[in-house]
Amino acid sequence: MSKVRVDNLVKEFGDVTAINHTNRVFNDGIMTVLVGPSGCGKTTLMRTIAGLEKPTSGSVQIGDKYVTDVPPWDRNVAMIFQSYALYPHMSVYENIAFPLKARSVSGSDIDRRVKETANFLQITDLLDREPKELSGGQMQRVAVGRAVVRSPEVFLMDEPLSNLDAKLRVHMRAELKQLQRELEVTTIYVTHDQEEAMTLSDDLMVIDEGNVMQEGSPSEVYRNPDNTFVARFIGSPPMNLIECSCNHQDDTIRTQYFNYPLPDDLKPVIQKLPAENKFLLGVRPEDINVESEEKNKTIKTRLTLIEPQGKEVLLTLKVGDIELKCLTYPDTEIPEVGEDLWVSFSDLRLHFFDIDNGESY
Amino acid sequence: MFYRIKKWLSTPARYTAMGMVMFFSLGPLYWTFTTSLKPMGAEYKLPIELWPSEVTFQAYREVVTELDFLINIRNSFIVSSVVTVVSVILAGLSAYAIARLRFKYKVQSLLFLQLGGMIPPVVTIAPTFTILRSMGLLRTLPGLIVPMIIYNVPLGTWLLASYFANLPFELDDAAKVDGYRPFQIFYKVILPIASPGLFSAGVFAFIFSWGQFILANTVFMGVSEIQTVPVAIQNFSANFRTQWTWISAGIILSLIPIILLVIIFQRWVIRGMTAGAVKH
Repeated sequence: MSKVRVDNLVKEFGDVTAINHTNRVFNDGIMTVLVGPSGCGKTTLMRTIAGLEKPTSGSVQIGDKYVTDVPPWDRNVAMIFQSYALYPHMSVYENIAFPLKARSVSGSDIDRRVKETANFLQITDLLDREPKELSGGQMQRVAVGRAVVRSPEVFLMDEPLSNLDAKLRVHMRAELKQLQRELEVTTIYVTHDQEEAMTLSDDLMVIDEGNVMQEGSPSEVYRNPDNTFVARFIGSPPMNLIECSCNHQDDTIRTQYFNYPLPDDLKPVIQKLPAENKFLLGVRPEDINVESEEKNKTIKTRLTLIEPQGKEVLLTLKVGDIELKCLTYPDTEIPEVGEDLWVSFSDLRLHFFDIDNGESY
Repeated sequence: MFYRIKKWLSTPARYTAMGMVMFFSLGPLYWTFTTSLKPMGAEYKLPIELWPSEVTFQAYREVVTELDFLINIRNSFIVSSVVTVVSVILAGLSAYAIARLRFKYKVQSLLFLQLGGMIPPVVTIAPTFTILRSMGLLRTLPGLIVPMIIYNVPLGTWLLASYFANLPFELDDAAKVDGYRPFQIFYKVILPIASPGLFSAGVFAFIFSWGQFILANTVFMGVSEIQTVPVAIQNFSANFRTQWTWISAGIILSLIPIILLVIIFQRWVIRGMTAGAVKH
């Protein structure tokens, strides 16, 4: 168990900056998830920690040791790949034993550890099989086994669940989390799936264009996004962002189509908002409440689409040009598509962002 | 439009074309075979006999007993085997570097290598002769082996590099984090799964060396006990009269090892060796 630390890390591929002056600590024994759209640099960051990519500048530290110039075969990290990368000419047993053989572990020790690992992952009956005889879920377990067997300092997991079907993915997700809890090995996990990121992470890093946009616990990142990128990326459906201005006299938010008075609790926040300039109001779909009738603070919208999702119903609403996504419960009274619907916002869960740089106020 | 062309090509025209190709490739072989079964002198007999009226193995007997042709086959076998093994090893190493390692001037080194491979042996025969003479390799088997290895490596590299480039790169990455260095990855991971590619490169090298004539003829300089098959066969006609039955029998005999080789190794040259490595 060791923490991983990157200092002023830069990785450029020609003109493209994959990692942009990143300073981060990946804490000991916990699971840190790197999440971001494809091409944001999250996999490059992981590969740099593994030693598979050489940084353009900056340093990588595993435990107390600087490993920036240490080749991957001399770093004690284990990696699970999206494609599993099992060795096709070796049996499951040989695949799991392969990393031990590189470390001159004695023959009887290898045998014991491979069998222990197989037992732990419940793949003992697969040990004699070839990779081509395995299902996706089984290949995944073997890949995990190959990583676990040698008690590495750090686990690196590069989208390990993306090739599984949806049901198996949810199952394996829980298993991976439990495995990490039991072994307490520092784990860095890369995914583009924000739901997977939320459920798995102890620490969540949202990455875009080589920059860490926000880091924190998943609930913190969800509740208080630092910027519009995080607000849009984390949460599904994404947060509604509405262009507004604000009147400091009557504490009202104004848009082209509606005015919305804010409660006293939010006054300190409102005072910070630029009076004449525009800003972005962020409302999560679940923070839009369907009202049965017109009230003091309701907004009149037009219902344009109803998408039942089982335990929730996703509504698409229109106020003039503004489109709002609203999540509600199936037992809510919902009118027909094309009819009017009154909604209000959960005031204390509103977010305000700078319209130019996207930063939170 | 395309459909119609395709349809027209599909049946009679296609078979006609295939028939012509087969006639031109197998026809001479058939003629060689039947000639080898004729008694001496009967190959000139008119009208042409599609199958000899008198079948005899006299030519084979004479080629083997009087002309010591088996020694020539043994020589060819030694030359081709050594050339195949050594050139596949060298080509495998260079192909691995080109296909899977990162280094400066990679494209340039590949081009340089291929440039060497593009020069036909006949062009370099004079300098090769001089070099071999100064090395004392004339009239020896290594005198043919060494240059043949040099001719085979560029083609083998080209073949294997394209094969290696198609193997999943995650395997190298996985082996690296599992604790293996590039050379270990080459022989523990890449070579075993690239065996179909290695066998095809090997078969190419073997056939190319087996049939090499100009260089062999130059190097051996008429010393019959070290001559390889093509040179020996050519010498069957060196006397006052061209012995077509001997030549034909020699050709048929020299074909047997090649045909056996292809039959034996074609089961190794199977596709799908990487099945189960990665899931896409």
